Amino acid sequence: MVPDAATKNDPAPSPAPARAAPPTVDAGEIRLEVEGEIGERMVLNMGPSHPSTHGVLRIVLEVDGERICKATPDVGYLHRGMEKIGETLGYHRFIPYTDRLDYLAPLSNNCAIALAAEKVCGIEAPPRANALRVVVCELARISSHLLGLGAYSMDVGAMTVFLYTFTERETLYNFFEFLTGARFTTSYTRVGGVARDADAGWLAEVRAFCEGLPKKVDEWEELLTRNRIWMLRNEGVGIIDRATALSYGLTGPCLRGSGVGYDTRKDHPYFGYEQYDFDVPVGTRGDAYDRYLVRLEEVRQSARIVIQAIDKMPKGPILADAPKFVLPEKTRVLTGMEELIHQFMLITGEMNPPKGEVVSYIENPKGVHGYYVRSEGGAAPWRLKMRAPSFVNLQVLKEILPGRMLSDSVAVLGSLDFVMGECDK
Amino acid sequence: MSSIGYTNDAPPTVKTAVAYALSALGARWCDYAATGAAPRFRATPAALLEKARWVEAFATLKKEHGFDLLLDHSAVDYPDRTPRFTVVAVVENSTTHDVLLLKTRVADGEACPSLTPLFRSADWAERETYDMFGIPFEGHPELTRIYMPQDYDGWPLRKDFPMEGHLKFRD
Amino acid sequence: MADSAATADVVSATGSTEGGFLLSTLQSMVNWCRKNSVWPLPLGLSCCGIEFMATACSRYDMSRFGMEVARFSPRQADLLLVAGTLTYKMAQVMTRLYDQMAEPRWVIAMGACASSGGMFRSYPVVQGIDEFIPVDFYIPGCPPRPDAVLNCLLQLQKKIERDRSYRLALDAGDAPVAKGGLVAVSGRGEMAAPALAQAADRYVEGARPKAGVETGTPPVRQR
Repeated sequence: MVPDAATKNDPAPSPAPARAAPPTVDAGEIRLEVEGEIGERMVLNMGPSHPSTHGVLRIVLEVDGERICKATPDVGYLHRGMEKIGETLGYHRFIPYTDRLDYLAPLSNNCAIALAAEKVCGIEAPPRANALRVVVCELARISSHLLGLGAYSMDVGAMTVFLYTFTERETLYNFFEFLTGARFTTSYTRVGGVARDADAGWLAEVRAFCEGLPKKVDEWEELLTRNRIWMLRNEGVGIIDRATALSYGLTGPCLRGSGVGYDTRKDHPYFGYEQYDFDVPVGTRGDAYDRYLVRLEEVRQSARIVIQAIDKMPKGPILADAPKFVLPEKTRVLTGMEELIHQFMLITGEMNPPKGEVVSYIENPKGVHGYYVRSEGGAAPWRLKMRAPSFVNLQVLKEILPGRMLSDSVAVLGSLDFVMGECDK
Repeated sequence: MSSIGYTNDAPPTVKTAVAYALSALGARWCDYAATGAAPRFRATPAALLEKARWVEAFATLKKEHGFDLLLDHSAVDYPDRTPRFTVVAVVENSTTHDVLLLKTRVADGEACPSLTPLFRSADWAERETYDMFGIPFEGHPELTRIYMPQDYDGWPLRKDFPMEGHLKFRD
Repeated sequence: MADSAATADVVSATGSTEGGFLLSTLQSMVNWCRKNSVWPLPLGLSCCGIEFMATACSRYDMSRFGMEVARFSPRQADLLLVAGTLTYKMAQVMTRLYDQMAEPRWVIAMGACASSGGMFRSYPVVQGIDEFIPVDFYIPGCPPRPDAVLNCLLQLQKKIERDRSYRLALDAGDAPVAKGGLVAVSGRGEMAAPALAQAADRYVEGARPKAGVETGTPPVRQR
């Protein structure tokens, strides 16, 4: 190595010139230290406004030509302080905020916070409410997977599937709107039950939709599953092996695609899921293609569960009989003295659940979603920690992106199927 | 001081080997009976550990008892207590589906040992806890803020932080 | 010309057998072209982005109004559609996107969060994107239904039709310039004094900054 002029004039020359500090590239807030010579590498900033990041994810990619050398995901562009809001507002008033977490499956989020709050209060929802929750959770799963599939295929280049799946989603939105009054900010559950009862006509229509759904899934499969371009873009891309998936704490279709048959609905049954007969699809290779297949199969299984739940739908009340914790029905509030007092007390914060801590998880479309709740009494939880599956699943990007081509990153992102509202809280 | 009672006996749902291993590490088990809640709604067994044996306990659980899924990791702020924060973590055995809630106590400004050598999911989880509570994690490879901007001043989920933040232009 | 509104001051002379020709002002021609090919930059921040996708899909079909070409590059876009909750961390990105858009440009705040912060009155959330950039239209709703989005886009077309920026630019001898939005947001969410262009520099109707911004004082929200 030829010492340069500066080293020659140094009064105390060191035997080997001190290695210069590694060159750094300033990419906004993230400083990347480039290993060795920067050479042909460049830093590519993907997001936060990028069509394939499904929101506001930012990934700082270090690329050598078309090949990714290093990927640094950066989240937090949609951090809204959900946990702080929950700790300030309390169990009842936090339910509408959960709609905005995983905004592709709001009904499922509503069920998660209701279940956690019920465990804190020590009450149980009546059987009809639980069956209705199963129906809406599975419809939410179908809706979320449809959007995930549509956006995924659109990013990879198949625009048509997106239009097909969104047509089905509009049908689902009509169901949600009929049941809850909103297309997807539903706020359907209450602590101790659900807000509105479903009538027989609605259930019959949902059942008919779910009976026709597997046929439509077959149609989409014809477009994609044996499509040569789709297979080339997805097979062997973004492989997550079993040990990596567990170590990164992946859940949901991402974990099942890697061959671990972990499903909260089977392993820790809630809402009476143990009464329904369904299969948990599991992948073999853990690549993007497997995750796509797992999601498609889950849509079929969800339709199966909905049909069973509607056929077995018990009769009875939709709210638990626990006036100290459960908001009374609105019609009775307007006519009865006692209900009016309970409503007033609950809304103004006169609610005193037992102290203690509760861990309550459910299987959301994206993975295991739920809460660690620390109650110190009072209407608001002392600590409401939310487990956001998208947040946990996204970490794996820095493991599976390096070494792949730049265009594969889009397929990997689509196959992880995250949603930033939940990831950033 | 604490509103949850603690006992040396493990709940019956915990497997004997796990209970023995954790008790050997000085764990004390949460007893929800003292709080008046029906035990079936507090089904997750919880244990309080010494901070010095925090990583050791997780390593034992992972290597010898198969608790390989770190489901959740966070902290709770008690401004009135002397070790101010309680760090909590939920681990699950992905084969037998046993769930354990482990806790340890950390004072303000004191570092908590990092779980990153054991679970790679602890990386972002601890960054989040650091971002929200200001608890540093010793041994974490890259402990920076994850949600808030890097130069943000304040720890949002501490109880003394106002919900609307401290924005000068809104005063 | 099928579009009745655009032809208000266009004289059609199609009686000739040699093929029709049109007489019009250059400005109404330009406006007619502009309003029927608005290319949106959908800044889908959260839930409203999903409703925007529904608007673009087959049932509501935004392409009927020449708006289906969603451009994710600000340099190719005419309309910044901010759909969702804006946080302070994201505000820097949004102002940068806005600065990179060429004039004439329009901004729609879709949904309650973009308009006013909505239900999120918490530490990281900007209480309305108009704290940073001028807004032409606000769509209420959390999230707004696709019908409401379509209605807003039709209103935007009417607004573009009334636009006189091209005429004014010709009169002034140079094209309208933007001098950049607000960029500096410190970690505590404090905003630097805005560096918006003077009101006279902004010819596009509605892109005029709010009263507080013109004088160079930070916009203080009355609560």
